[in-house]
Amino acid sequence: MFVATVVLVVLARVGLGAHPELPGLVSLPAEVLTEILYRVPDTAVLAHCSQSSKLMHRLATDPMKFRRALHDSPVDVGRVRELIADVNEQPETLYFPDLPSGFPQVVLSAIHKALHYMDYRIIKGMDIPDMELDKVRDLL
Amino acid sequence: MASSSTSEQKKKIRLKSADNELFDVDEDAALQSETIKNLLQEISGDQIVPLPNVTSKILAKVIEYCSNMCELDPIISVNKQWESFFKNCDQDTLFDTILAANYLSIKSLLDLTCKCVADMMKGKTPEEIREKFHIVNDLTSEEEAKIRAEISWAFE
Repeated sequence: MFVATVVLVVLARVGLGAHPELPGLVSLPAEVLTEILYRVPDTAVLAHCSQSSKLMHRLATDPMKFRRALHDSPVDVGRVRELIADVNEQPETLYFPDLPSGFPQVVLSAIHKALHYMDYRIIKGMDIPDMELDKVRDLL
Repeated sequence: MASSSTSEQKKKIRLKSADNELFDVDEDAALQSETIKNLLQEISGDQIVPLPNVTSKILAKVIEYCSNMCELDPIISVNKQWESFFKNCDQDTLFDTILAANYLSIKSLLDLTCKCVADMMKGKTPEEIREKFHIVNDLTSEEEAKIRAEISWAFE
């Protein structure tokens, strides 16, 4: 077991480690790994994931993937405002930033994080506690 | 024992797993899968739906999940039970279920299982994430340092 692990590490270090043949998380297709990364609870977790391997770094920091996620998301600005209005917050204080090409990771991750909370509420039908709403408002 | 007329009237769909096991599933449970829904449009109603990418072990779990989603109320409490199951099962089962949910296109199951994995990463260092998910570190020390500098904002 130890020898097998060492061999895998050595192969990976010299660039011969094909990810699909490795056991565990990175054996999942990239599209599925991206689905998982969309759902990490905060930007610190996303950052830690991006430090775990080349593949995870590429997936966790790919602006196009997160842009597509935003585009494909069932949550639009109007819906976000409705949600916030539902809990007596101030919808006029919320906005999604414009998305120029090459916009910084911090914006991407903030949007991702906000969508995570919003999606969670819509999909699960659960209420976001006030504390969590504050986090969303801060991010936007 | 006599079964109720309601259950007799429910239409069944026959699914075949990768290891050739057959499952008779209520239609409303089976139709939660977009893939099965599409396959049923291509074949006649009485034919077996082949699912070559899903083993019997995982297909049984997926069917149980879909049946639960159809029968139990409220959905939130059912979801909690399944969330608890996926957080405590072995990684092979969890990852195989994610693959099955992706292949079968069952959005709620994909969401639930992916979120379980994402939650498992919470509070872990990169090294702990590697250890937990058997990820081989193929980054050089220079690359690691560069990434750390890139993502320093995330911890501010």
